[in-house]
Amino acid sequence: MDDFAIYLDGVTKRFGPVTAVERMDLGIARGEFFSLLGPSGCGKTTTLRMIAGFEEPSEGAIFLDGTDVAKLPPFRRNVNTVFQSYALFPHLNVEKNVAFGLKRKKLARHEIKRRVTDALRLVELEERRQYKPSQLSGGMQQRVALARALVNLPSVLLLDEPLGALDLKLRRQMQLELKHIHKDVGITFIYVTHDQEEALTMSDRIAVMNAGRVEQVGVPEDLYEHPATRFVAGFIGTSNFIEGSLERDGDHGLMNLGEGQRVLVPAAAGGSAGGPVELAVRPEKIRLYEVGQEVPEGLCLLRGKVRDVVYLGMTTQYTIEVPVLSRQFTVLEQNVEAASDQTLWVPGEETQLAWHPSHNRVLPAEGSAGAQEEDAA
Amino acid sequence: MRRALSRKPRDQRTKAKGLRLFVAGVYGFLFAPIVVLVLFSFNDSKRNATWQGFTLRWYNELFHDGPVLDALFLTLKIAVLATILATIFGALGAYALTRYKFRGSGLYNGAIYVPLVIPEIVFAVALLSGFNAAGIIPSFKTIIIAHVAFMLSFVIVVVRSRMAGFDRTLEEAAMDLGANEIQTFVYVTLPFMMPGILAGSLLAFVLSFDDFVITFFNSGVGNTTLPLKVYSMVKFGVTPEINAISVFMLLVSSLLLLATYKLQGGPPTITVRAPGEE
Repeated sequence: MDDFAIYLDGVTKRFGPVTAVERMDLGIARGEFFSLLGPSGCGKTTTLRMIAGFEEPSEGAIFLDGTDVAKLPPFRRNVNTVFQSYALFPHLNVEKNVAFGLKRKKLARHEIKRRVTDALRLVELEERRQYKPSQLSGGMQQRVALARALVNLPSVLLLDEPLGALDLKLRRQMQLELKHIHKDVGITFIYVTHDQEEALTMSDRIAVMNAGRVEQVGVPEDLYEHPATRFVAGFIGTSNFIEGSLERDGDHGLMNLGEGQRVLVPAAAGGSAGGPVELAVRPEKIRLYEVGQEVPEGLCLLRGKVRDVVYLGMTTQYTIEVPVLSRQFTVLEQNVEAASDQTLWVPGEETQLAWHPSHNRVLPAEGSAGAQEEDAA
Repeated sequence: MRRALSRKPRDQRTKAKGLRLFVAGVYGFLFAPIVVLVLFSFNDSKRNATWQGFTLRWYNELFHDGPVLDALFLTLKIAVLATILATIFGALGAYALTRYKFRGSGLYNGAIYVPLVIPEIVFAVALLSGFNAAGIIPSFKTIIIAHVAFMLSFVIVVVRSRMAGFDRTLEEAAMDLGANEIQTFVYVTLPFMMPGILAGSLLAFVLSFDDFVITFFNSGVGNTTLPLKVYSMVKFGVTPEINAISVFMLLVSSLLLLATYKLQGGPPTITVRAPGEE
């Protein structure tokens, strides 16, 4: 536990009959940029508020630098928060907002001044120190909130969807800025967001949460390429899901999709033989071939008919009807050539879908027992 | 078509003219007596009937009239003391009513308006009979209690409307930055409440300063405040000195209301909200 900046040990939070967070175990390493990602109501903000001290866990312990702080009030924890609404004190100017925490620690005046100046330099707001929060733009207020938290040099900095109120362009810019600041200060960041792109862009590791539980913890590539649950496969990016059953374990698994369709799946794929499982395939891993065109040996192959074509600029998204499985597939193709009638598929065309078996992800079917037990570690 | 178009504005113009006259009438009716009152306080005549010439004699007399000055000081003493008490209790009450949900908080929130809407005389009689029942003889203390009782509602209502815009995250932010509960209140919550508290206390002060009915019923013997003094003087005829006192009170009240106005950034707000409404 001492190796972690934050370690959650069986943390549960109930609000009356509602369980917001359920038996959560999570270790966050020192200096990590860690994101809690999930849809609204998944318990990510409650988790953050428990770490900050605004909510007391119903059960479990929260170790901050090796000490259990679960019962301590917020002002006795070496943790600072950047709030979604910034929560800047409206009656204080920028400088005094940033100095607030240091003054509570009763630091010497010149020390406060020096650190406030450093913090404001870090967020490039030195020349605005006399401004009131209401005189600043949303992006600047956000940076003041960041400086106000960072100036205290907390063990862990908590960020509760801090970019939620900014427009897309500013958001992108702030994402990079935050990333740089994280590198500069070396403090552990815990970042709450519902935006998967944001989490993937910024995080060292991500915990994907759903309905009060952690579905999977991992580095961004891992979550995308090797989702452990159906929820993760659907929440981070999109996937084509096919129900079926796992037929054979061994060096290569074989998945029966019904109707005589079988595909090879990686041996490491989860789920036990015979049980109901789901196959997930990312839309961009599938390639389309003309009917009659030779498809390389060893690929998973299905026949289909183009239903819809959505041209997205960089890519084109196809919806393809696969009659044998009576379901639709989503396929994304890069527009490598200039888009024209020759390069794009048109609705009604017969086609072949092919993908390499290594892209097959076998996931425990939604709701089956054991689906969520292994992932918390 | 063209006729209709050209006629319409003229109709509106006549209407606007009529409306303006009406408004002027209303305001004239409201302010003419006050203007006359002020003017005659400078009238060089014992009687308030005809204009004899300009003088400051009555003001001079006023500030050398022992009983009147005594009454003025008593009034100020009551107003200051009662305002301080009502402000403290009112601010705390407003904080509790907006900040916490507890059993019957809706009822308390609504009941705050009762002293504002019931006739003052009923309130005065209720207080008096309450003191009687408790065996308390009306005195300086009962005036203070009575004033605090009716000022409390005004303070609470004004401070509460300020608190309605308070973002609780600010308190969390303060605690997050290392402030304990008391520091959080002193450095974050109180500064936010301050304009409301000042506005509420000024309003309370004005109400106490010129209160007649409640003081009259609860003052006991010998506690003659300025409004009571004026009343007793008027029994012997309206002299220009009474005009001068009135102008003085008018000035005090207006200045305080103006200050309230400035503090709140608008007219003193007495917002009527349904209980539990944010």
